[in-house]
Amino acid sequence: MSGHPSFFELDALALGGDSPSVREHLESCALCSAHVERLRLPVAVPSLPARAPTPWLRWVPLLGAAAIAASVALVLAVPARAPWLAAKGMPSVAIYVKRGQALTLWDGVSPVRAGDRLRVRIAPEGYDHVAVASRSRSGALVPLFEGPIDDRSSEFLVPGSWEVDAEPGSERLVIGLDHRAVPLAEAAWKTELELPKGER
Amino acid sequence: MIREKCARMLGDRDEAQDVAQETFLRFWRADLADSDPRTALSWIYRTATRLAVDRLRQRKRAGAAASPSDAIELGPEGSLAARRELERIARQVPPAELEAAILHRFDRMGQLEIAGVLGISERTVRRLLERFDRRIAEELRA
Repeated sequence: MSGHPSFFELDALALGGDSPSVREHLESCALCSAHVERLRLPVAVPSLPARAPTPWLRWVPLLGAAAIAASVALVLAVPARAPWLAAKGMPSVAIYVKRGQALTLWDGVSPVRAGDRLRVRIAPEGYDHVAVASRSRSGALVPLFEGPIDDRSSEFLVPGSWEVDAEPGSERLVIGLDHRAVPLAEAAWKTELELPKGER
Repeated sequence: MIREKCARMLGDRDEAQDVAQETFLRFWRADLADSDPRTALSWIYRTATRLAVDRLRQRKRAGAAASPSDAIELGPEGSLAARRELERIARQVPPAELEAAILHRFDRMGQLEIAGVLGISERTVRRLLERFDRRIAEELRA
C-alpha cells in the first residue's frame, strides 16, 4: 500500500523476528529503520547485587520475555483515585502487587507475600532521574534501578518487576528523584516505603 | 512499542498514554510473557486497537475536518487530518469496521495481517474495509 512494511512487521522484527524482506527494506529506508531502532533502545534494567541476594528479599527482574520487555512501553494503568503516597503536587509513588493473575494497587498497609511481584510507579513532578533500591537488614542500599525519566510531567513506570521471597521481615524500598544522575543517598527527593510481609 | 502504536491511533497524547497503560496492564494480567513474540504482538495490536476504538467512540463529536478532500488519504505515518476525520466519524462506524480501518490505515497492515491479528477471515477483513470506504465516501458527499 505505502511501499513500507507494516508497523506490525517492523515491531515483529524489533522483537527478534526474522524477515529478510523487511531487513532489506530497512537498508534503504531511514524512516522504518528509525522506528525499529527506537524500539531497540535498551531499557534500563535493575543492577543485581554482585554478592548474594539479601537474606530477606530476592528481587528477580521480570525477564521472562526479555525481547518484549525491552521494547514495550512500560506504563501501567492507574485507577482514577489511586492512593498516591504523597501530598498533592509533590512527587509520589505507587506500588503495584501482582499475585497470580490479580493485580492490585498496594494500599499502604496490607502485607505482601512470598511470590508476589512488585512494580513501582512514580509521578516525578518535574524530576528527570530516578533511582530505586532495597534496604537490607544491615541498612545498606541495594540498587534495583537507576535511569532517566522520559517525560517528567507524566507518570513513570519503573522497568522490571521484582519477586518477594519467603524470608521474614518486611520489604523496604527507597526511591529517589533528582534532576541529575546522583547517588540515591544524595537525591533531592527521597522516600522510603516499608511493606509488611505476611504468611503465604 | 505499545506507546508508539497508541500514538498512531489517537491524536490526544494523554489518551494515547492511557490506552497504552491499559494495554500493558492487560498484557501483564494475561500472563503472555512466555508466548512467542508474534503471538504476543498480535494480542497487543488487537487489544490496543480495541481500546482505542472504545475511546474514539466515547468522545463527544469533534470539530469538522479542515479539508474533507484530503482527510482520507494517509501517508505512511497517518496524517493529522486523517486522524481527525476518524475521530469525527467514529461514533457512526461499527467497532469492527473501525478496528480494521485503524490497522489498515494507521498500522499499514495488509488484509491477511489484519485477519491474523483480529482472528477473522481475510474475506471478512475485505468486506469491513469496503464498508468503511463506502461510509467515508458517503460522509464526504453529505
